[in-house]
Amino acid sequence: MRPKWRGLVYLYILAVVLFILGPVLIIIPQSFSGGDMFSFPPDDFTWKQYEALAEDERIHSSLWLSLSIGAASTCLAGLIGLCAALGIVKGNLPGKNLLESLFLGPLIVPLVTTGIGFLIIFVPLGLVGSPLGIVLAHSIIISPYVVRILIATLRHFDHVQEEAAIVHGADSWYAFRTVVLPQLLPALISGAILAFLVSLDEYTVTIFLAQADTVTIPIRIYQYVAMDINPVVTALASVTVIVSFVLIVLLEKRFKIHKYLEM
Amino acid sequence: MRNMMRFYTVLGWIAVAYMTALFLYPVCKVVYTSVWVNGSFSLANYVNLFSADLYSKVLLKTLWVSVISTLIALFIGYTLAYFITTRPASKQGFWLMLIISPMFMSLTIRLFGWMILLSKEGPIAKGLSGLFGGSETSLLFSQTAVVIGIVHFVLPFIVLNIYTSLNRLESSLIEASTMLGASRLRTFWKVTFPLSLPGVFAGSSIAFALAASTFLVPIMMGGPSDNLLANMAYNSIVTIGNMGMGAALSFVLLVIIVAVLLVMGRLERRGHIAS
Repeated sequence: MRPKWRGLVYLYILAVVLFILGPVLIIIPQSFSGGDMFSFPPDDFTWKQYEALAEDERIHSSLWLSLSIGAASTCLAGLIGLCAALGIVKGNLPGKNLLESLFLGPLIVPLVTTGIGFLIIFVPLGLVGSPLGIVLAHSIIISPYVVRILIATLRHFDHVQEEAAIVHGADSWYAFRTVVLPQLLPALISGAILAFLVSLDEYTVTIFLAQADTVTIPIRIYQYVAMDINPVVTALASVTVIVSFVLIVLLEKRFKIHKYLEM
Repeated sequence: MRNMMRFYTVLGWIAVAYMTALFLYPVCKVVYTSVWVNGSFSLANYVNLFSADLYSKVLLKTLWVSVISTLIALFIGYTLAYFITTRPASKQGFWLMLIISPMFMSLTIRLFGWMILLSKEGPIAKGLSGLFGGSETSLLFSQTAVVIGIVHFVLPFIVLNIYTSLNRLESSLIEASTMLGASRLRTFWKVTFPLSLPGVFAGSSIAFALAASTFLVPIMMGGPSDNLLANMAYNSIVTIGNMGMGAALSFVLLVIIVAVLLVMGRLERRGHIAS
C-alpha cells in the first residue's frame, strides 16, 4: 500500500473504532457530572451520583431481581441445552434438522412475537408479573446460546473414550458423568456465561411480563433514562461498562471467547 | 452402546417437550389469537393491517430502516473485518474483541450513551455548531438516530461473520492470483470478495432479523413517529388493548424475517458450493 493510502485507512479505522466505543466510553466522564446528565462535557467533578447509587433501593432490588432471574434461567437453559444438544448429536431422534431449528428457533422468532406468546399463555396461569414467569421465558430465549456451542463441540468430539468406558462395564449414567460431561464443561460454561449476560439485558420479552414489583434492571435503566431523568443512572451505567470490560478481558484471557462467538 | 443411545434419545425428548410447551405452543397461540376474532375465524386483523394507512406505513418504514441499517453496517463491517484479517495473527484476537466488546454490554446502556452523544447539549451538536456556527441542533429522536442505533447494535454480528469467512480463505489462492500478475484490487474483487460472500449473506441475515425486530432502539432513539413494527405490536396490546392486532403485527414480522432468512440461506449455500 502507498503511504498516503495507509494514512487514510488508519484514519477511517480510527473513526469506526470511535463510533463503536464512543457511546460506551462517554458514560464514564458523564457519571462524575453534577448537572444535566445529557450535557457534555460535564461542568464539574463529583462523586454524588455514586453516593446516590449506593443508596438507591429501587436499583438494588432490580439488580438483585435480575441477577436471581439470570442465575435461575441460566441453570434451566443449561440443562435444556445439554439435553437438546446430546439428543441431536448422539441420540436417535427423528427429523433432526427440524428439531435443531426448533432449539435455535428463539434466535429467529422476533422477541416481540415470543413475548406476546408468553403473555397469552401466562395470563390464565397467573404467571404475569411473577419472577417465575420471567425465569421460564428467559430460559427459552437464552437456551439457543447454550445449544449452539454444545452442538458444535459435540460434533468435533472424540467418541472413543466413551465407548471404552461402556466396553469396560460402565453404565450409561456413569459413563456420561465421568467421561462426557467433564469434556463438555468448558463449552457449557462459555455458553452459560453468554446466556446469563443475555438474560441480564433482556428487555423486549420481559416488558410484556413485568409488573410494578418485577422491574428488572434494563427496565429500571430505561425508566431512569427516558421517564424519570434520574442522573444516578450514569453511575450505574459507568460501573456496568467498567465491570463488562474487565469481564471481557478476563474471559478472553481464560477461555478465548472470540472463538466461540464465530458463527 | 445401544443403552447410551437410548439415554441420549430420552434426554433429547425432554428438551423437545420443554421447547414445545414453552416456545412452539406460545408462538402458535399468537397465530391463533390473530385469526380468532370474537369467537370465530377471521382475517380482519390482516386485512386491516395491509389496508389501513397507519399500519402499512409502519410496515414499510420498518423494512426501509432495516434494509438501510443492514447495508450501512455491511459496508462498515466488511471493511473492519478485512482490516482485522490483514493484522498479524497474534493481534487479531485483540482487534476482534475490541470491535465486538459492546456486544457484551447492556443495549440499554449503549443506547443511553448514544442519547448523550446525540443530545442537544451533547459533544456532536456542540462540536458542529462550534465549527460551522449556527444553533445547536440535535439528531436525537429522529429516524437517523434510530438507524445509527441499529447499525451500532448489529455491527459486531456482521464483523464476526465476515471475519470468520475471510479467515477460512486459503492464502495460497491469493498468492496464486498475485503471482499470476493480478493487481491487489483485481485479486480482491475476483478472489477474496466472491469467496467471502457466505459470511456476507450470513451476517446480513442476522443483521436484518435483528434490525427488523428491534424494539428498544426506536423507543430510546426515535421520536413518537419513529415507532417500528415491534413497537406498534406492543402499543396495540398494552396501550390500546387490542390483542388480536398486536398478535397479527408480530406474526407479519415473523413471516418477513423467516422469508429473508430463507432467501439469504439459499444464497449462502450457493456461495459455499461455489467455493
